[in-house]
Amino acid sequence: MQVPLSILLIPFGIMFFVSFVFFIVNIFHISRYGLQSTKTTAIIGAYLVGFFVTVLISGALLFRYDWSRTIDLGSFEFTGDIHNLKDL
Amino acid sequence: MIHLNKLPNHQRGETAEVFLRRHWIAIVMIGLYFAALMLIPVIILVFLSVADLSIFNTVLIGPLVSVLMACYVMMIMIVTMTQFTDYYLDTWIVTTERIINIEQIGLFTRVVSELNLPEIQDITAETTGVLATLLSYGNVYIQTAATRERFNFKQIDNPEHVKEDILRLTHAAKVRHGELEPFKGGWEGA
Repeated sequence: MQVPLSILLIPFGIMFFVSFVFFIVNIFHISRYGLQSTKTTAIIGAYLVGFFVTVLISGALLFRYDWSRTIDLGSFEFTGDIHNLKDL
Repeated sequence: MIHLNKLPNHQRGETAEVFLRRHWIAIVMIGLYFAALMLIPVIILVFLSVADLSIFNTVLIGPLVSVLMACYVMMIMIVTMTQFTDYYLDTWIVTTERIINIEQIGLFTRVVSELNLPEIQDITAETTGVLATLLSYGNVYIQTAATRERFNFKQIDNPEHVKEDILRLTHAAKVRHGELEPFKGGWEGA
């Protein structure tokens, strides 16, 4: 059975969307309800940097693979040896 | 944003005297929690390399584990950010007329309570535990004569000092409102 590898990116896409929404909500809360001071501005900046770094780390984890390829699940036979997983 | 000079229901002549957040130990706990969560994928990676399972070079397992780790990293970021927002938005403001208790519970619940200073009947400062004693943080409980539950200033720095400040401000408010005669000797350190 041929399965596109990019199908694995769907859960990541959902998680990224949810994370982005929560990130926006956090920024909204800090900017609306935080005390007006340089500390609040610095925290908003830290949140932006933190989100950007997280996206970079996630990208570094994912960009090493060619997601356009397909894999043939039908050709794999698990023999019970965990080292057999290298064939997958 | 909150402006200390433009609080809601601002009264003429009212000034903010004390602005409090939780002690910095709360930030340390969030940081430790974050570090512990980040250690889990590191430990898994070390285990995999020790067991000679170079799964990142595989066709399916490698991308699958990478996706799971990417999702995990995003989840940790969101949890840490939310915890910090909860800490940062928990504030207590003591003005010359009232106490404003702002409590952020999670991201979508926010409770704001006000208490006029002349209504205060009892103030208790509490420091419990070795760490709290060494770092001088604790709780301050404020009780009125009414049946409403008391205000709780949680994990604040120098609770004894805060209690004294509130007592001084409460006395001044009661004198202003004609409920008390002023001390003839004045307050020490005022």
